[in-house]
Amino acid sequence: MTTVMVVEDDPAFLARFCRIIAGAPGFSLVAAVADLAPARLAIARQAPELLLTDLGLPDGSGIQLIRETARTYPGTDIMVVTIFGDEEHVLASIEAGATGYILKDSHSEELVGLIAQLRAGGSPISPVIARQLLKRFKLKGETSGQVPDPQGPAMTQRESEVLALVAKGFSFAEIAKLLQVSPHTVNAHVKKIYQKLAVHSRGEAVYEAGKMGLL
Amino acid sequence: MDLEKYRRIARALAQSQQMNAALEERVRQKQSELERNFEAIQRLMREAAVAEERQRIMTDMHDGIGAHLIAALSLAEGGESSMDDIATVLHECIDDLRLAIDSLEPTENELLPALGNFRYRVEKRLRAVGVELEWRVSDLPALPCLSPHNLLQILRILQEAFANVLKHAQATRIRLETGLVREPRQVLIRVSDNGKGFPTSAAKGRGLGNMARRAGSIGGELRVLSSLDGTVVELLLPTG
Repeated sequence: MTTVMVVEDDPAFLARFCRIIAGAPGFSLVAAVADLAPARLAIARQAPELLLTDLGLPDGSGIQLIRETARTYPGTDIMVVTIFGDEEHVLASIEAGATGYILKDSHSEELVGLIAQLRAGGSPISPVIARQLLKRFKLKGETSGQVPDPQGPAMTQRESEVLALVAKGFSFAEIAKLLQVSPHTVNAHVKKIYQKLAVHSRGEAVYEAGKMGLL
Repeated sequence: MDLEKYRRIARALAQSQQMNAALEERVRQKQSELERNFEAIQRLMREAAVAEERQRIMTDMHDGIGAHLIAALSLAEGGESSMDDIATVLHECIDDLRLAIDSLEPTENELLPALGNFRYRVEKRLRAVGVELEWRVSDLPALPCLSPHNLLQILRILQEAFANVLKHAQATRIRLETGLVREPRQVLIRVSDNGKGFPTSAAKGRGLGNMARRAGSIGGELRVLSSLDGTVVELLLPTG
């Protein structure tokens, strides 16, 4: 049983997510809250294996919750719940440590499918996001030539190939065929990329904090 | 004698210095006048750009979300439609809003990520009704015409083409291809299905006129070919 916690301040959506999770085989709902503060408490009491969180919470940002949870409980998979899946919010979530996102109006089967995919090691990713990730890594590679890289590991050749194909709209199964690897391997590459981006931005945060004399 | 000569030269020098100073002053005046004019022109251009953008957003909202919401409202007020019908229209409304938001994402004039996002949005629905999507895209040159407004028109044309297949064609497969056409150089997006096609007389009800108008409005061209073996919709876009 995968333990799930939902953080969402819209009561109708919260009820809907809870109903879907409760009805899905293999998942057990351990907490459902609407605010940041009770979410922190609930996670401290029992960290779920999967955290579903909204970004705009009444008493703070879901990004903060993602960052804290990702740092303290690396075993927890985090998915963001968003209305539009727009590049800005999704990238910020990934940088904070989320490994996937779901759209608020997803049908129940889609939602369960996405969660199952994430738990199985795959991280769903949209082409526009993929393109932005590709650009970020490239920029970082270019600027970190001489100085010792404070930003963590760079992307491998294979990872950037996968990302470039995702950016052209190919599915994981098609990419697997094109690169002659298993779909599972493609999944693993994408998850790795997500993690690296989170590491990058954490590394950057530490680096920036150091420069500012905060550490 | 010589003294008089020196005086004349000194006077001439003083005069020419005065003249220089006067000329410099006039140049300064003209320059600041020019700068003021330039600023005024810049301000007007900014205002025109803002007005154009406002007009674009109005048109896009009117054609998209506005139309869908009014359709949903009239279904709800009519009282004879099922909740499912209303939910369908509302889903279409959210879809269109998403297209509008997708069209605002940074593309750097690249079409493929935008098409890919469209696939990402639409594929789940295709799978749910048992329609397979073949993705046959190839690398394309950057399209200078790919402004958010133009991209939204392209996405709406594709949305309409896919909706037509799902509603009418009874197809099991949709293929999306991209390519380059020469003389004149154009980018081609082709959507084809293996459904039952439709007679030309039925074309009117399928928004084809609307799609062609949208294509024309962004300097593109729409071609539709239907036979018993299926339908092919081609959208040609200028590369210049």
